[in-house]
Amino acid sequence: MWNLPWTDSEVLIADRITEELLKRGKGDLKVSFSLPMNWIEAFDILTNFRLQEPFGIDGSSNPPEERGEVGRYYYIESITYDFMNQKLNIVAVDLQFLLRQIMIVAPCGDVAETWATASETDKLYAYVGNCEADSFVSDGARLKRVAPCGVC
Amino acid sequence: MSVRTQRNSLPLLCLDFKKTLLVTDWYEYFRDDFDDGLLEPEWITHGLSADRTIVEASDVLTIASANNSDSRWWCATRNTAPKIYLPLGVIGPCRITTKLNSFDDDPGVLNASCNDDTMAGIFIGTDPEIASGVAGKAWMWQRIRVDMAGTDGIRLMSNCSIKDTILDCSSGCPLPYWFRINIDSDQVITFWYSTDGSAWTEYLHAAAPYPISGYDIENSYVGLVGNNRDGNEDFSAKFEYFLIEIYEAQHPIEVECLAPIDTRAPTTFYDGRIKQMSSLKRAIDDKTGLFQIADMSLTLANEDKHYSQLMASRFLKNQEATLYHAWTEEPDADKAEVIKLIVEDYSMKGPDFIIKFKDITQKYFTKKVPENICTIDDFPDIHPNDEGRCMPEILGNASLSNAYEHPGAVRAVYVDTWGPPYRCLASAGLITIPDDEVWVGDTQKSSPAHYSVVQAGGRTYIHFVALQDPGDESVTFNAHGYSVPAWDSVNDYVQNLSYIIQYFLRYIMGIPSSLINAPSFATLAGYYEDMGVEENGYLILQSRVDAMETLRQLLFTGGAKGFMAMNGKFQVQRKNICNWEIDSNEHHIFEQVELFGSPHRQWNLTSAVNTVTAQFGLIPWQNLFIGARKDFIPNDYESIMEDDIRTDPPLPPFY
Repeated sequence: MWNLPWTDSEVLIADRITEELLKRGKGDLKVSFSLPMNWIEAFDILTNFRLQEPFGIDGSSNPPEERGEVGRYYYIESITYDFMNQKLNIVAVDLQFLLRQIMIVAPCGDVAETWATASETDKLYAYVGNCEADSFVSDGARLKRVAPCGVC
Repeated sequence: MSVRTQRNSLPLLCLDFKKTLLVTDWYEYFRDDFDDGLLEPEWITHGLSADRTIVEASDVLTIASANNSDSRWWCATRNTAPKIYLPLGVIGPCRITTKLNSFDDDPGVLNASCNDDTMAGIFIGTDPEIASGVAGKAWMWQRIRVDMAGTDGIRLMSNCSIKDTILDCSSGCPLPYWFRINIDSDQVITFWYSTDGSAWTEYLHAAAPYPISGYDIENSYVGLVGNNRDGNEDFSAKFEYFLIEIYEAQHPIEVECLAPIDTRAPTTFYDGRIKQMSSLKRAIDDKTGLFQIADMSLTLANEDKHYSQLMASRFLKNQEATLYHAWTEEPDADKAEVIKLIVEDYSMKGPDFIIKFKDITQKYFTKKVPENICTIDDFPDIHPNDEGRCMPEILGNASLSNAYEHPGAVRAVYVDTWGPPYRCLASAGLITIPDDEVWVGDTQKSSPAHYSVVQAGGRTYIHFVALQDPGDESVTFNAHGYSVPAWDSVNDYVQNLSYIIQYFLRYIMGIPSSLINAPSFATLAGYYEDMGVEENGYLILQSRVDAMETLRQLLFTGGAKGFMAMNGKFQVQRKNICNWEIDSNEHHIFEQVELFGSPHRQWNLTSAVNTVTAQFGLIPWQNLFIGARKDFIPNDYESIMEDDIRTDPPLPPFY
């Protein structure tokens, strides 16, 4: 039972229910790991970070989107300080649910046309592609989302 | 060949031991170190404008006024100097201290026809905002400079007609300067200054009544002020802290600092008594937004019977402890606070002294609210049906009648049946009740024919006139809740959900301001403003509920998460689509390099949801304030909100 009793705003209630449904619509992705104590001052609850997959570093000539994860986004849900063993035990929550809430609508010129120039948000969501070739206009990397103006 | 020293992690713990013996001394009553970038809500400001400002930033409070801004301290018919103040709140012996770090005025262009007095200091007054100068109503203990007259010093002044001897600073009155107002047990006021914060000199002089006696201490205010008369100068003064101390009998605190090995830091000795400590878990529940902190235990060395002797005259139960983390090769000042804890229990076993800690917020959260109960002792003529009921706490717009003509959102407590007037307690604090939005049973009443709203003793009452005795009927009303000027919406009462949460924590839960991260609430409030929902929060407490559950509801309603951060302060935060990428890139962890072992990724697909059952008080009326409504919310929940709830009859009142 989700209880949202302390507002009379339809806007806020709609936003909150949408947010929770999006967040939990595809499971409840979490990651847990241990770190050396050196990270103690960098990390607090809700701190955002990126975690690189073991095989994320790939020097091959594979297309960029096939080179493994370049660092998935998480935020910290739990920190356990093990002072006697000098390590931190972390549990973190997938942050990318936030991206499922948005659609980027922008003039064509504002959206990156190559993987190299795309921001992380662009790479995950909105870089320009060629619908017919299923690839980037400029460098041939595979299309992910938005087509350039007038192409599709 | 170089030798590389090993840098080791070092937990440090400072623990408060409270002496059982009562000792009369100076104890802190109120303190503001001006270090969180926001004025505490206790402060009242006056005299501000575009060119007369008070800003808390960079760990100081800056009072500034531009040239010709006419920022005069209470003189003749003017009282326009920028100032902050708060009720003294103490009637016994006390002292008020501030530290003036800087006092800058730009000599500018001196004009013989102008008086270029600039002053900054501490004041006490029974009416700080009164427009006309009345001698003896307020006293300002100040640093002053008058370039035109070549004077520079400190002095005491009342209104402009009384100016006491200036202490000459022409040979130097180096900053910083400490100012203190002392009030003794006979309520006699004296004024003191210091150049080092420890050696104090009384400001003795021949002119004017001094020391000041017969002052209305009970109704006094104290604060800080800056004065810039019309003298072609920009002026600013910076204050480092403001402190009120009281002189009374208390159990003094003795701090003992501990570490696994003896650690001699420049200012603190950490006794190497920590033998063992359990791990400490800090977390939030990602689904509810509430924080969780596991208990922690600590084993200290007692081979020398140190604690056996210590505990004969001290106690630890409910005392504070602060856990820090430091590195063996780094200065003490670089240590980082991890958490504030509170002692739950302790025991001795052979050579071990074992302490069990809980998170300090347990002290405040493990209780039920509201705490104020209407008893027959306080209200001898209370209606029998209402004895033991809570005094309602109201925030935001508690209104039902605008759209639905239902009885009021809140039920008053009938505390005085021996009328007229027949008195009903509306709220534990000061609220406003819109005209004619009071009901007895289902009958709407009008003001002033049937009732009047009276504020007395910090509470709000509804007084019914003769022949309007509510009898056994319920008295309900709508209201606009509490006001905190710094947090108010444009409607002059607190409505932003972020500030409602902060109010709940500070004034209903009683968590000290030093444990709350005020800027995080301001940030969250800005988020709701951006959403356009800054006037849509409310909270009504009129029956005893679990404080933690209420906090959970507030956080979940606003999609925020609350937790005790590493700086020991309660912080709220909401994950924001606007900055997630920037924040995330600060820390990029490579599994192969940084981690011990492999990470464990869990998808938890069994907890995936595509529909939810939710309950909410979309249109607040009495039965919805406690979330009584149960609705199934499929993907088209909007249609339910539009059609279903609004046409349903209300459920029976919960009270």
